[in-house]
Amino acid sequence: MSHRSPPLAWLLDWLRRDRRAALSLAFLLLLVLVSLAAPWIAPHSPTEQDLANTLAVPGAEHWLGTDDLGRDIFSRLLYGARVAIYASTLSVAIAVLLGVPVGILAGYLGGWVDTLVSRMIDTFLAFPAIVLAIAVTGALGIGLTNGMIAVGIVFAPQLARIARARTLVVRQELYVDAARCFGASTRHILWRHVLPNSLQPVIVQVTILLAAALLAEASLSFLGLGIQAPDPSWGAMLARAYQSMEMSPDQMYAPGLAILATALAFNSLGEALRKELDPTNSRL
Amino acid sequence: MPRHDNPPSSASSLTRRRLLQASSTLPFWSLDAFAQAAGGTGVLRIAAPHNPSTLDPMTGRSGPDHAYLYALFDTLVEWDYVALTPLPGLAESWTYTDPNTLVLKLRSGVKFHDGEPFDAEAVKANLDWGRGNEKSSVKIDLASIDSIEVRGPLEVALKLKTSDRALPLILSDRAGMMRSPKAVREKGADHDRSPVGSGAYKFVSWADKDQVVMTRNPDYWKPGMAKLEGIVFKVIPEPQTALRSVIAGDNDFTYYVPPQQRPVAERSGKMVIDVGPSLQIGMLYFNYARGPLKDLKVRQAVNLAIDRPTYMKATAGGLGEVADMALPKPHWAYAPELAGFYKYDPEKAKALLKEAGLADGVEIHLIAWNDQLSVQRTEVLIEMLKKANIRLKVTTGSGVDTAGQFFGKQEGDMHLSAWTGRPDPSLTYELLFAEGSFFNAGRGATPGMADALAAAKTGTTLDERKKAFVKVQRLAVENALSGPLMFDVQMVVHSNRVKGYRPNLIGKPKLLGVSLA
Repeated sequence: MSHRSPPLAWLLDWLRRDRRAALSLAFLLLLVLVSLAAPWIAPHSPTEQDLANTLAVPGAEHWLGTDDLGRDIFSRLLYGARVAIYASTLSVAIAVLLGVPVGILAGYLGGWVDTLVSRMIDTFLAFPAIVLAIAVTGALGIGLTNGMIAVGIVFAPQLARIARARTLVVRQELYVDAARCFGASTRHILWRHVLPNSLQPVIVQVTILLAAALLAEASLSFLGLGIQAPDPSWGAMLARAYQSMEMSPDQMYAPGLAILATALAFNSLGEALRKELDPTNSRL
Repeated sequence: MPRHDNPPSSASSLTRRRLLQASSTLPFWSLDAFAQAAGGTGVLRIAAPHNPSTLDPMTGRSGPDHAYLYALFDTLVEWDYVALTPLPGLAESWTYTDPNTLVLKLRSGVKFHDGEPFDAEAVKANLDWGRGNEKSSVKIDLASIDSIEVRGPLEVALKLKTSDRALPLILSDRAGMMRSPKAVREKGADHDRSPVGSGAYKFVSWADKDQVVMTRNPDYWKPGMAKLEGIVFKVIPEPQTALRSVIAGDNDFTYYVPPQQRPVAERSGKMVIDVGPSLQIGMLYFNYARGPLKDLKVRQAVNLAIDRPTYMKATAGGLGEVADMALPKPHWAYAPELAGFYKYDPEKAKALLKEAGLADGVEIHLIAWNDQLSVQRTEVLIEMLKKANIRLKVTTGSGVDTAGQFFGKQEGDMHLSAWTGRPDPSLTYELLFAEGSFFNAGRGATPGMADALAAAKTGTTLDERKKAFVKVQRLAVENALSGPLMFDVQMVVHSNRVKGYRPNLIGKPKLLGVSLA
């Protein structure tokens, strides 16, 4: 990132130029707002059942209809957004907190530390994410928070590897040598020089991991391992839609499209960021 | 000049062409055709919704095991498919020579799958094992037997501690499934995984959670009843997938189909759908020895807070029968005077809780299964009970795990599960409510229950037993020892190639006489 123009100005300039980035960011901001405001804007309680009015078609009372237990789908969608945001940000936050420091240390210190850490990263990367998440959930206990912690642990090696690669480049830079000549401690160098300059690829990867975390939460909830009844989540709504697929195939559209749109937004943002932060970009 | 680079001579190309033509007719030489020639009519492929817990009838407790067990084992007594009245099985006849002695006259000429003879010694060995072995799951079933006397090669006398008239039907279930004593002795614990019975089909292999393979018993004593060349049970725990595998032709038969899947089966247009009543009841088990459910008022409040007809409509599309006690209406021991005992009344439930000193309500720990249908049932119950100030804290797990937690380790207060039913109602009520029984999670006694159960067991006529059962059921219902919800229908779906299948009231499929067209 350039040190010449202040971040906010850069951000606004970028959004003006790149429409895809603007749309994705706007959608995600809207999602965050909606999930924060859910208790106020949801027309019904997400768990209140109306067993006399199940699988209803969309209408004035229920904008997206009702599910197999007569619950308002629109309200469940809004509350599900909270779970989606919470789940994605929790797991990615854990991935960042675990992966980035490990990667930077490995890259900067080199030697046996690097070798050990790299082999551990390789081991973790060999596991399919969902399988590892299920195993960790089995050890920690079933539930949304534990499930997303597991997903975070699974994602950390990816970030570690990216941070390490970037650090290997940054530590060769002249300003790092200069700082060392001036007697700066390792900790100072890492915090003040290496970390800020290693963040670009990490930021891009974070947006992509947010999408993956969302899908992981949906999969875990679909399997009954994530969110527990009766709390709504998009994945759990999909699982129920699958169950009543024969009687009402339309149930799957709302949660399915919500997951699709959100994952797409995260990925689009990531793509746009990657292009913008590319070191060969002449603008920087 | 001869051209050496010509294609092969006409002779060999004709051979190749002939070979190709011949191979195109190979599909007609199917496995079935060969099997037909060998005397069987094909291998029945079943999409089985459960992996067996064990294939030894006397070490298992899981109701869904019976689909496997009925094929591998015969029972001393059998039952009529419609009314469940007792019929001769491996025991040709039985009489009570005095109230405490039941004499069985056994069928001759029956052999176990390993060639060992079925005789009085084998019966004694099996029943003694069932009564005394530490791994036996049928101890309570056989608890009334004091000693067993071999009176002849085909005659056994069971000396009873008390007059037990339920024994004949008890011997039509696990306790009466005869295993080869030699195999049990020699295999030890391995017999669970490679059983030897005398049934229409012999065990071949069991790949855990994958499939169980059986082959025809050519020496089966019921002539012409072992019609299939073999049976392969493919374990497919997800009911939609199981049904679709049958519709697609990958399998021929599936059972325990949830009522929600009926439209799928009907739409395919080529499936045979069999819907009928069953003894299987969806219910809430209570641990009434400790915790919030120790108080009678709380147990009654739970029963009053459930709107059973609505529950049935929401979770089973209305297919089934509302349950007030552990027996359905068609059963001979059903007590009509107890019907509708706990009529839906959430206000009364709240009032009862207030009387119990719980004006702010109560929290109850419910252990439930984690499949989608069970999650749906759990959600309905959460909302219904919430209206009566009863808050459910829910933890989930698989069927086998949760059973171990609730009944084995005695964790949790309430368990949403099912009771698959037993041929004799004495077994059902003893297994559910007798002091010390495995399915009585608190293991506690209810005053008067032991005597009432004994009376039901010793009545010499069906009428006498029926009157005694009213007392048993009144005790169970008035003390709210459980929360009965609804009786499931049993639904079997099979391709039209499958012939000769007959449903039974127990609801667990018996494949005797089934053939493939």
